[in-house]
Amino acid sequence: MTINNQAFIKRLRAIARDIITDDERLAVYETDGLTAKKQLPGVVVIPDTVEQVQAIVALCYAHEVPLVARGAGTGLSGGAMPHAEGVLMVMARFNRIVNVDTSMRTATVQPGVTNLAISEAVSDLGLYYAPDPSSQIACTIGGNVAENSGGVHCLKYGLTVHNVKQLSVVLPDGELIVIGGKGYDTPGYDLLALMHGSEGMLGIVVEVVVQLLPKPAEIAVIMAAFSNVIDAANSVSGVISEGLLPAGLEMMDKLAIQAAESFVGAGYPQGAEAMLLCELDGSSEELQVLIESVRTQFETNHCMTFTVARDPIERQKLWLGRKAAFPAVGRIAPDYYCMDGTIPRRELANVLQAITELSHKYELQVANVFHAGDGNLHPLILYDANEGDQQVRAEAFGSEILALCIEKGGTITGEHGVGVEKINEMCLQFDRNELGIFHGIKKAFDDRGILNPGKGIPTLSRCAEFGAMHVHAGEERFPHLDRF
Amino acid sequence: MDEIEAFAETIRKADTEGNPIQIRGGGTKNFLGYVPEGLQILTTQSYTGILDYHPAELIVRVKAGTPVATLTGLLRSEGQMLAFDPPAHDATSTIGGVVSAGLSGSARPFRGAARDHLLGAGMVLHDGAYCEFGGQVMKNVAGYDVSRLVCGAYGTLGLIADLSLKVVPVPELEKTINRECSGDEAREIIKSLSNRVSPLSASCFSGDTLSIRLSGSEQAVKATEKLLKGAEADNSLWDQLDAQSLPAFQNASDIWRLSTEADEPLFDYDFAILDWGFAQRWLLDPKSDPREGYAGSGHWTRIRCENDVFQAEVFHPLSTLALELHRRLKSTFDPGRIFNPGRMYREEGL
Repeated sequence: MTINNQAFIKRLRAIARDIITDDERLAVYETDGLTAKKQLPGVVVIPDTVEQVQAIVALCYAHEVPLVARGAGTGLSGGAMPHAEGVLMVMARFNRIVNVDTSMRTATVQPGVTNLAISEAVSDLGLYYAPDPSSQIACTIGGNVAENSGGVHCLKYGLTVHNVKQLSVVLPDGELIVIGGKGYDTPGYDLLALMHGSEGMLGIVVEVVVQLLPKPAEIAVIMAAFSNVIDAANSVSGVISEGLLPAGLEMMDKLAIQAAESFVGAGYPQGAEAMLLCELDGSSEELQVLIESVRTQFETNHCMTFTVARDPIERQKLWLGRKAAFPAVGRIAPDYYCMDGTIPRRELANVLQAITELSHKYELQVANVFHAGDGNLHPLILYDANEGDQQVRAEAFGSEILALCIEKGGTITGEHGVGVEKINEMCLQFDRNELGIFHGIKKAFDDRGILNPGKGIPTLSRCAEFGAMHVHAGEERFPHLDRF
Repeated sequence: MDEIEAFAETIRKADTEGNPIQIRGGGTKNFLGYVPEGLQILTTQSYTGILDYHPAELIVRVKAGTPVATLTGLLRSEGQMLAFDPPAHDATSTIGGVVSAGLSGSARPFRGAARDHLLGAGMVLHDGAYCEFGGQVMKNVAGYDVSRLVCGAYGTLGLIADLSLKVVPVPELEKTINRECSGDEAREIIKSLSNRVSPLSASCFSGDTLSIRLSGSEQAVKATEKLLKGAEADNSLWDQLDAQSLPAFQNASDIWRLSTEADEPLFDYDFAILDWGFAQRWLLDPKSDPREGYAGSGHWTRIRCENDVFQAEVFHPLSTLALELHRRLKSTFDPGRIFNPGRMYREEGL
C-alpha cells in the first residue's frame, strides 16, 4: 500500500489531529542533522498521546507502511531521514518531565524532552543527567536512546545505555511494553541494552526513566596547548596510563581551535597545533592532587601552556568553544562532513597522521575535534557541495577514514549511529553471519519491517553492490562457503 | 584459533543432529537455572588466556574459559581491576560464565553491572560461524548491541568464546566499615552517601550490622570513614558475599534472591542479607518464598530450595509480550534449540 492512499490518510487523521501532507510544510522535515541526505516524507503525523502513537504504529503495521520516528532531528547519521512512501512520526509534543524521584534519584521523562532540560530540571536538587552530547540543548532523550548518545563526559560517566533504567516502548504491532525496571536488573535477556542504539528500528520509545547523579563537589577544567598533535595524543595516553580517570578529555587541532576561537572567543591558544581540555572532579583536596598529576603528564609531553579554570563561568567558557566546534567549523566552509570513527587510543597519533595524508590526497581540509579519552574521532571534512566533485571527494575521504578505523581495530561509529550515512561501511565492519544476526533481531521485533526501513543494517545485496564485505583476520575462515 | 574451530565443529554437529549441548565454564553456576542431566557438555575450560591487553587502553580481551581469579590477578599486577566485582564462586569460575550469567557483585549500584563493562564478545553461533559483536573500543554504536544481549542470557543464544571488558584503575584506598544500627538507619546512611559524590562502593545490611565499603582517594575514604563512626572490618567480606560463601549462605536450606528498587518496603522475611543498598535482597530462610505473596515491582530468582518439589521455576516469569520477544530472539540465534535448552525458562526451552 502506498502512503498516497487517501483512505490511509483519512484513518491517520482519525487518530491524530496534526497531519501534514503539503510539500511546503513537509519540507521542514526532509532532513535531520545530516543535511547532505534529504527526502520529503510521505506524510508527517504529530501525536499527542501514547495511545495515539500505538494506534499510528498499529495502522502502519496493518498496512505495511514504513514509519520513521523523529525527535529533534539533530542526529548526524540520517537516522531520522524520512521515507518517501512512509509516515514520519514527530515526537515533539512528548516534552513533559513526568516525575522526579529524589529518593531514588531517577527522572521519568517523555521522549521529546531535551537532554539538557533534564539536568536543568533537577539542578536545584544537586543532581544532573550525565550523558551530554554536544547537541544537548536541542536533542531529545528519545533520540539519545535511539543512538546511544555519548558526549564529553562519557569517559567517566558512561553512555546513554549506562544511565537509563527503564523504557516504555511501542512495538511494531502497536503493543506497549515496559523494558528494564526500577531495580538494577530484570529477568530474561537484556532487552534494555538492545534497545539502545537501535535507531528506531525495533520499537518507538514513549517514556524513559533515567538515572540521575549527584553533582560533583568541585570541578576543574584544564586547557593545555601543544606544538604538535603527537605530543597531545601522547599526553592523553599518559593520563590514562597513570590511572587517572578525567570526567572528560577532549582534543582539538589547529584548524578547529582557530574556528572555535573566532566563533565564540573561548580564549583558546592561537598558533598551537593542538590543545587538550581535561575536566577533573572531586573534593577540593582531591582536585589539587589530580591537577598536579595531569600537569606532570602534560609537561612530560612538552605542553606549551597549562591553564586551570575552577570558576564555573571560566569553565563554561572553555567548554563553550568545544561544544560549538561543529557550527564554528561550519562558518569557515560552506559544508562539512563529520565522521565518528573510534579507535584504540594508542593508534591516535598514527590515525591523525594518516588523516593528514588523506587530506592532501583528496585536496580537502580537515578539522579534528574529538573525545580523545575514548579514542572517538570527529574529523570534520571541509568542502563546498556546489564546487565540482567536492562532495564526492568528501564522501570518499570519509569512507577511507572509516576503513582506517576498522583496520586499526576500531569501529565506524562511536556515538552518531549508522543511519543512512554509514550503511555501506557496515559491510566493512561486519561479515554476512554478523549481519544475518542483526537482520534476525530486527525480524524478531519487526517481522513486517515497517520501522525505519533502510537504516542501520545493510542488506547482503547492498554489501555486494558496495563491493566489500568484512573478512575476519584477513583470511577466509570457511573457504567452502560462497563469497561475493 | 584451532580451539574455536573445535568449538564450531562440535556446535555444527549438534545443530545438524539436533542434539542439545550444555555450555559450561567451571561448572560453578549449575545451581542457577535448569541444567538437565545427560546433555553433551561443551566446556570452555581449556580455552584460557589473554588475547589482548594494553593497560593504557583500559580494555582487556580475554578467552571465555579464563578463571576470574586469574584475570583479576593479572589486572591487579597492572594496578587495574574489573569495576563490577565479578563473583567467583570458586577458583574454577570463569569470566565467560560470569558474563553469561550476567552476574555483578557488590559494586553493582555504585560502579555498574557486568553488561556495563562489556564492550564486545566473540561468539560461535549455532551454525559454527565465529562472529564478533561490539569491539575493543569504549564507544561503539555500529549494529545492534548483541554483546550486551548475550550477557545474562545463560548461554542460550550461543557460545561466548571471548570477551572484551572495560577495566578501571584500582582505587588508592579501600576500606570496609561495620556499624551497628537499625534497618531504617542503615537505609538513611546509604542514601545520604548516595546523594552526594562519595567513595561508597558497596553496602550490605544484615541482622543489626551495616557494612560499607569505601573506595577512592585516601582523602575521600578517610573523610567518609570519620563520618560513619564505625569499626574497620576485613575487605574480604565482599568477595565472600558475592560468591555466596558467607556462613549464612552455606547454612541456609533455602535461598531466594529478590532484586528490586532499594526503596521498596521489606518483604516479610525471617532472615535476609540486604545487599546493593537494599536493592538486592538475599532471603535466607525457608519461610520466605517470594513466589507467595510478593507484590512488589522487583523480580525473584531461586538460588537454592532444598525442599522444593517444583524445581522448574528458577527465574521470575516474563510478561506475555516479553516472553514472545524472547522466543523470537531464541529462534533467531538458535533455531534448532541446541544451546542450554530450558536453562532460563524450562517449559519454553529458553
